[in-house]
Amino acid sequence: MSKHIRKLYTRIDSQIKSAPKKVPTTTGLVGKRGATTDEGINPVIDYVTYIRESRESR
Amino acid sequence: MPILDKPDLLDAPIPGQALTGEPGAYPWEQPPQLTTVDEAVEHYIPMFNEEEILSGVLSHIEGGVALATMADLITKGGVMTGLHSIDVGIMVAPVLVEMMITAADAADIEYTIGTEPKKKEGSTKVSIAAALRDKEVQEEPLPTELGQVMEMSMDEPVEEPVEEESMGMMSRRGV
Repeated sequence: MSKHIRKLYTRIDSQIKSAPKKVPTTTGLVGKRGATTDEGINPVIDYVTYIRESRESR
Repeated sequence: MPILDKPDLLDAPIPGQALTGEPGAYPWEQPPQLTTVDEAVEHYIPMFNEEEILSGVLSHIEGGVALATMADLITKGGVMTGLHSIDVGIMVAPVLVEMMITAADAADIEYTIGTEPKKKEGSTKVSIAAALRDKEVQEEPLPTELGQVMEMSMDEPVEEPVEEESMGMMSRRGV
């Protein structure tokens, strides 16, 4: 299971680093305001991004 | 070590023995309590605020345990106690890794995530011997006679091989 975790973390890390920085549209962690579906929303990426940003802003 | 290498096959469980137990006897055979990543994160994040748990985690990080391995252990514990499924455990692991990075940074502790590329030269005897052999081969000068021959062959122009005319039945005769 550790191998899968390493792969997933590497993938999420590269996805976050390659994604363009955007202005947060909500105050919460997950979801978009007014969104009708949860399509394109990845809670894991949102959580990791949030934790990373809050760490860097310290 | 011979005991570990050759387990006693007569004492080993017979194939299918695991299926003879009563279903639902273990916590991980029950429906998980936390079914989504959000619920699992809500369960795990407050753990990092507890001093006892945090000091244990930090001491392991300081000891050189990779963060991915730590996250693996934590989530496996959750699976074993029937807290969540393996899938949710894997999904929540990167969040735990990130939390541990934050904790290690705050405590000014060096850490390894576990995704770093492996070093080429390992510390095993085999790899050290291989590295030494490669170094010796590179440094070893050519023998004098062989070196002269090599130098001469480098100076001489290379002769191109002349193609022989084919003498088969279908070959064209010279006009």
